[in-house]
Amino acid sequence: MRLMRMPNGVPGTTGSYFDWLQDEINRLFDPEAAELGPGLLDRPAAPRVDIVEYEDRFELLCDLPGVDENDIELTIAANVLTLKGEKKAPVSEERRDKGCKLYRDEIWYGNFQRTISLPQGVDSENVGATSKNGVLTVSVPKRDEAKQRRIEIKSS
Amino acid sequence: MATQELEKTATVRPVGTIWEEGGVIYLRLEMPGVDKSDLDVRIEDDQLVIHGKRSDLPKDAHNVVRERRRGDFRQVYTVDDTVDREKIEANLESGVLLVTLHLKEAVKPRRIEIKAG
Repeated sequence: MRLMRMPNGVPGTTGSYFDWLQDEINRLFDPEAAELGPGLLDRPAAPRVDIVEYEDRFELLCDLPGVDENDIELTIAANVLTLKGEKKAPVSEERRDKGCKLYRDEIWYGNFQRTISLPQGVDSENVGATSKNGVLTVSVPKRDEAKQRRIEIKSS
Repeated sequence: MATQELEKTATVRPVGTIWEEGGVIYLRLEMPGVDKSDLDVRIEDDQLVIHGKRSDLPKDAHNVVRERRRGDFRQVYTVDDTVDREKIEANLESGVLLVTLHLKEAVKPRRIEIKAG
């Protein structure tokens, strides 16, 4: 077991920890989710993602507020998407030492990495990514053979 | 936002950092997916009310993975008399809201000269 960073929340209050614990325990008993996200026993700081399936593509949405696009590295190999980057501290250590009084700090920062396995049949050649309002959107189109097709039924 | 409407809206508290530097209090809140036009920052009596509507959550779509929190961002702070209410600034950039609250001159620490008699 690795040391893990606690989730976003107010240190000292139990509410957010209970939410988190509940999420974690639900996740532990959910075999599908266990494969997708970082689990209870191995959780480096990681941004939250959503993956949405559309008829012709998958869309990955990731909350990365305040992270510069140049600090994000996105790679895809076959159907495995890797999102790597660094989230910088809003108030650097240096400034903390120099007359900057920190009252509350709830966010996580540091390096992060997420590896996401997409289903077979994605077109890794045509992946597009945009960033807007601190949300990164990665669009991965499906290959033609993976798209749903309607089959005509002929009457005989 | 009307109370009735608010009761029906799911809200989450944005996480943030609060610090003071050179007589100014900075409030940095992470509100990913909130557009400038959907953000409301206001002073009501003694309260600083921050409400941001999320517009990036996909509706009626098939979610394969769903980790991001649902709901609007909302946080209410009580502002005391040490803050100059005329000088509150808010700036939203790539999902991060930075509110600048200036302390009143009278509250700032001051060095008192000692005169030799």
